[in-house]
Amino acid sequence: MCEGRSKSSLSPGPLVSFLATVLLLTLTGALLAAEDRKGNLLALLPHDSELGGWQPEAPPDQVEGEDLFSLINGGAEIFLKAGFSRAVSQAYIQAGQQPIQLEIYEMVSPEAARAVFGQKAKGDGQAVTLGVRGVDGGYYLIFWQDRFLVTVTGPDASPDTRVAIIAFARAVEIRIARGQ
Amino acid sequence: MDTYLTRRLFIYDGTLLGFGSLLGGPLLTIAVEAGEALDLAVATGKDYFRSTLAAVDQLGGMGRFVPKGARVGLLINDPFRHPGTHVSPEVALAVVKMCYDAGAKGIQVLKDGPRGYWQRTPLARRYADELKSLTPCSSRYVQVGIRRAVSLRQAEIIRELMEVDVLVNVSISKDHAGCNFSGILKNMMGAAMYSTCRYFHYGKGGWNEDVEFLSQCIADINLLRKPALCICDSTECVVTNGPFGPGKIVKPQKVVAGADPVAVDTFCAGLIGLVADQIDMIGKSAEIGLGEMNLRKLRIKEINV
Repeated sequence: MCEGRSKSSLSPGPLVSFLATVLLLTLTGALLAAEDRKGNLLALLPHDSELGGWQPEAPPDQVEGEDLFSLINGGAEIFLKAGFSRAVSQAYIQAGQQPIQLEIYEMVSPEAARAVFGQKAKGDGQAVTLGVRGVDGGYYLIFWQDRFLVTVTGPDASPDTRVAIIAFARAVEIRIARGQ
Repeated sequence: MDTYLTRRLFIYDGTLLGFGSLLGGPLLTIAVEAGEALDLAVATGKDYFRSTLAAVDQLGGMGRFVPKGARVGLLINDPFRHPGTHVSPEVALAVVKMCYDAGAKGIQVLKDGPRGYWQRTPLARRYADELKSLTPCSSRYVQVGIRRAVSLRQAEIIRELMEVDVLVNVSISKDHAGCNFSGILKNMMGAAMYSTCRYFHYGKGGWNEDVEFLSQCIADINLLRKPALCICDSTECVVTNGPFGPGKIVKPQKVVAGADPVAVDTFCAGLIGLVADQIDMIGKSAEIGLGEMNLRKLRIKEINV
C-alpha cells in the first residue's frame, strides 16, 4: 500500500514533466513561427538598393486582425469580410516630393486576396501584368499574388512617380514569388 | 473616475447648440438673420492654403465664427493617406492659422490624424509653433443620447465635442462606398467611437448594405452639435473607391466654406459630379432641420484666387 502510494505519487512526475516539455516546445514553436511569419511580411518590402533615392519615412506600421481599423478606418471592412490576416504599410519620402505609400495586405488565402482585389480594382485603371492580376490607375498600382494584395500609391502620375511606383511594385512581386 | 465619465450618459436635446455655443452660435445667428453675410463662399485656385483663407474671408473672416478667447474643436477628415481621400494639410493649416489669428484660446483636435500628416506640406515649418500648440485628441469617449434622433438614439463620441466653445468641421468631398458621398455631414462620424461607426454601417444588413439606415444615422449624429463653420476641401477628390482609395481623382480645385453643413454638402456633391437629391444622407439631414439643400435660396459667392 505504502509502496503503491509511493509509486502513484512518483509516477505522474515524469509524465507531467514530459507533457510540460511538449507544451513548452509547442508554444515556443508557435511563437517562433508567428515571429517568422511577421518577419516574412516585412521581408516583402523593397531593399534600400531598390528604392531609387526614396527613404522610409518612419518604421512601417504593422497590424493584425481587427487592428486594421486603426490603419485604414472603415476601409478595413472589406478586408475583414474577405478574410484578413495582417498588413504592413510603409511610406517613402524623397526631398521635395510627396510620399509614396506601399501597403501589403496578407489575406488568409489567395481567394480572399482575389476577392478584395475585385473590390478595389473595379471600374478603374487598366489591366497590367503584375502579380496574378494587376491594375494601373496612373498614380497607383494594385495587384494580388498568392495570398497578398498590394497597393503602391504615389502623389501623382508624373514620370518620376511612375518609375518609382512600378519599381516598388515589381520588387514586392518578386519577393512574393520567391516566398511561394 | 475616467471610466465612469466615459460611460456616462448625457441626453442631448438636439437643438443644434453645443455647451459652448453661447460664444459661437448666437453671433452666427444674428449675422445670418441680419442678412449681412453670405451663406457659402467658394474659392478656386491651385494654392489651397490661400484659397481657404480667401473663402473664409469672403464669409466675413474667422472672427465671425471664432470669438476671442474661444476654445475651438477641430474635426478634420484626415485618417487616410491616399491622394484625394483626406483634407489637404494646406487647407487644415489655413484653418488653424485663422483660428489663432481670430484670438482662439486653444485648439482641441477631435480626432488625431496619421503620423506625418502636417509634414506633407512645407508650410508646416512656417507654422510649427501653431501646430505644436494643438491639443491632441484625448481619446476619451462619452455616451450621449440624442432625443430628436430617428435611428441613432445613443452614440459614443469624443468628450470634447460637447465641451469646446466652437466646432469647426473641416472635411473633403469624395466618393463613399456606403452613402455615395462623403463631406461635412459624414465627417461628424469622425467624432464617434468606432463601435458607433460600425453600428451605422451595419444597420439591419451587412456592411454598407442598409444605406437608408446609414444615412439616417449620419443625419442624427449631426443633431449633436452644429459646426460654427464648415470648410470642405474640394480641391482633389477621389470619385471611385472611396472613402479609402486609391481611385479615380477629379480636381475641382475649390475650397467651400459656410455655416450650413447641408448647404455645403449639397454644393460640394455637385463639384464631383453627384446630385444632392440622390444622396439620402443630405436629404435626411435637411428633413430634420440641419440645413438648406435648395441652393437657389442661398447667397453664394465664387472667387478665383
